[in-house]
Amino acid sequence: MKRTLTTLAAILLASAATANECSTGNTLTADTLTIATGNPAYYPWVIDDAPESGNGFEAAVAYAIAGKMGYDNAHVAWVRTSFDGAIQPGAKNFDFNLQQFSILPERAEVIDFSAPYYTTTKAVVVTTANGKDMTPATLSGMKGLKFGAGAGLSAATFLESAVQPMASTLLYDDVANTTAALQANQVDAVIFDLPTALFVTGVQMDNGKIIGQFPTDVNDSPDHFGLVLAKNSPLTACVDAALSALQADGTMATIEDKWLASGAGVPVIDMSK
Amino acid sequence: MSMPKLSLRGVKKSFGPLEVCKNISIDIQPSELICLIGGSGSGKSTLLRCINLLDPIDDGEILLDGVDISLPGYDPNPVRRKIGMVFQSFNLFPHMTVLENIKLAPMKVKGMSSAEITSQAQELLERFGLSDKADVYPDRLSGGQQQRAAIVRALAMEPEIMLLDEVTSALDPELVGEVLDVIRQLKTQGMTLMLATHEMSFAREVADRVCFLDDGKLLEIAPPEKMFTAPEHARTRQFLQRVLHRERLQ
Amino acid sequence: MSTDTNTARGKSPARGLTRRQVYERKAKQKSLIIAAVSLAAVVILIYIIVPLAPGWEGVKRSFFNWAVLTKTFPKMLSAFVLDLQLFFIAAPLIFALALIIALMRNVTSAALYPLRLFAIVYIDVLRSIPVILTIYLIGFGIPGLGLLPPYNSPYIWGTVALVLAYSAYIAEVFRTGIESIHESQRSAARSLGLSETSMMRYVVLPQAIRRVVPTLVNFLVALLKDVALLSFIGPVELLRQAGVYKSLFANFTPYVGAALIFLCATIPAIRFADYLMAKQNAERSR
Ligand SMILES: Nc1ncnc2c1ncn2[C@@H]1O[C@H](COP(=O)(O)OP(=O)(O)O)[C@@H](O)[C@H]1O
Ligand SMILES: [Mg+2]
Repeated sequence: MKRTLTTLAAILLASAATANECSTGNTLTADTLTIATGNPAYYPWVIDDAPESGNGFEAAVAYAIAGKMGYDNAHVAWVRTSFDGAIQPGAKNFDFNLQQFSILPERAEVIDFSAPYYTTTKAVVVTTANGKDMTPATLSGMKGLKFGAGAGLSAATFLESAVQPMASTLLYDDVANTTAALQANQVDAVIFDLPTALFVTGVQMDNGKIIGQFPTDVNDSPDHFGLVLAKNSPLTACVDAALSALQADGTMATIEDKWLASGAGVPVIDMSK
Repeated sequence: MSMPKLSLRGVKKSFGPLEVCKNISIDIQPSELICLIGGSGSGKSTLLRCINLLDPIDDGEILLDGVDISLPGYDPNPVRRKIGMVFQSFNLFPHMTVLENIKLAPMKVKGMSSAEITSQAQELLERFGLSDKADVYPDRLSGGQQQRAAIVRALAMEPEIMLLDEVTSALDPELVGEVLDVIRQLKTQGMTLMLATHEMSFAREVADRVCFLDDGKLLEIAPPEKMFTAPEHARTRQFLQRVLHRERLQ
Repeated sequence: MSTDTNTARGKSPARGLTRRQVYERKAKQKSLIIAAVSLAAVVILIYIIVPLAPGWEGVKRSFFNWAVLTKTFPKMLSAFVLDLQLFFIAAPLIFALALIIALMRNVTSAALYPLRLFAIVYIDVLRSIPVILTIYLIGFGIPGLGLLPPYNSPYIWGTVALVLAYSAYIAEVFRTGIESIHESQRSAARSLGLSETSMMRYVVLPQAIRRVVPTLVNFLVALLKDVALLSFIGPVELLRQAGVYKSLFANFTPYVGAALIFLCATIPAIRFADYLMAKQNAERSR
């Protein structure tokens, strides 16, 4: 009896190993893929701050990638890191980390990025109460707005290069504070990635409205979100392979349809006016 | 006799349960020099502070030119213009030069112009041998000079009465003389003076009357010859014997 | 012959120094040399040992990245201008308000007791709340009441929050200063006929303030650093700008740069406070 169990275990281990030669021996813990998300992790990327459920776009993407790499749900472990925790020098406590990290060449000097798992535009949110509800949205209209944005979200740099607003931009630590500043009229408009903007206007704010998204052909736009791995991680290639397989077989599109609201109706800001 | 310059009538003062002035009455005539003597803690300083309205009295009255200044709620500041006071420990303001110390009150209280008071202050400083110290800060003065400066500062308000509280007690013996000279000068000019002192021979020399305070009671008032030769009370005799003996030893 | 005896008795023939001066000069040189040598030894040890740590290369890339520093430093310097502006607006307001509160805290007349009570509550409450919380509550809370631009600006309310928090601390500093002035100074002022107001203004406060200047300088240093807390409610000052760059470059070097800028601004002030303190001690012991 005991011998059969050991044999069974050996077979399971072997099957896990054979499932993806690529990652064997390179994960933090043998036979387990350790995945990091934010603390807390936000809707719609992770539902109810519970990535183990697989609910939410990033949670679902993480499990899909793990699956393709040969780790079933039982062989996935979740950890939490802040943005700083993800980029600090020294050994990482995750195999890969996903929390809407934009892929930027500057960042790529200290960490590895996977290929993009999601591409989004930045959207401008106003309150219908503040009289800044300008439609159609134009670049010149944007210049006159006082913007708020999350400090970690490359939005400040984007605004400076693409919009150059007259008033200096105010930056906040998280989505909640950014939204609060908009509601207190301390800023005229805030910038989020489109899924967050859809969530904020659809669920959090009564009078929130997306007046437009930036077109995909301006500087730093669109945003490509990538998984973060340790610099020169041997896993980067494995993750990329898994991602492209998932894209090819349509899994990524299915996950996106399931968890992210469609931004199809959101008008594009006219950058020529 | 003319109306007394200052009258104390049944003045009582306590600090909590401690009675410090027990029913003190005395009339002080214009230009009179009164010396208060008595042991340490007998209430000399407190009595002077009460007259200056620095401490409110509990009962009795203090009359200045016949006006009761001790009424509760009476504005003390006009009174203090007429009654100057100098303290035992030097109360010059250390952040001001001697001249600034002197000018402050005449300018802020009387509204005198800086020029007016400066020339007046220079005169006073000259008179009391401090003319070269006008622009010096107090910590650069000797104790005797500081005390003289403090007297000049009080005089600059042109008071009608001066209260001097042991102004020589904190001084080195060789500096006492110069301050006593100042007091002699004031007497010559006809200032009404009340001074608490331990300098018995000085009291004997200048006082018109000497008051012996004992445990808050005004035990005896007498001209100096009588006080120092034939005091009425045994307590006075004891006290004088003690201090005169000490004075002889020095 | 007589000069010879002089020399023997302790006059240095060369410079006319006393024997004591010669001795002290030598002792000072010696201690300087020892201090310099031991400092150099410590620096060299750090310089050799730290790079031996296995993670040094990573730390160097993430914290001491010259390329990142040069790219981010100019903009961080200009962000620091905002810190300085907020500081120079807040500091005088803080001193004025703190002085008013300290004076209210000091009133003795019964009729004005409500003022005193207010000052006590004000100081107690604001000193008990972490500055950052005061900034959040006032900087986000008050504009949220429905104030219209520009009166809901985080610059305004953030500054107000800083002024409130710091004035409570500094009011206490002023109060201890006022209370440290000996009662005899007040007696002397009163006996000259000065009103309570004049006494405060011309006699007590000048001495009290002089006495607390070193403490005040220390608080100013703390204030300059705490201005950075306003970044939590929006303004992009040095700390926030460094954070943006940190996030952009995924590198902590901008924080090191920010630390350097703060150092350069505050060290002179700290040294100045020490100097004042030493000077006061010397004066007091004279
Ligand atoms: N502000 C005060 N509070 C309480 N007790 C005091 C105060 N001032 C003086 N006393 C007390 O009153 C008594 C008389 O003091 P004081 O008038 O200074 O005496 P003297 O000047 O004759 O030495 C002493 O016992 C002293 O301790
Ligand atoms: Mg006394």
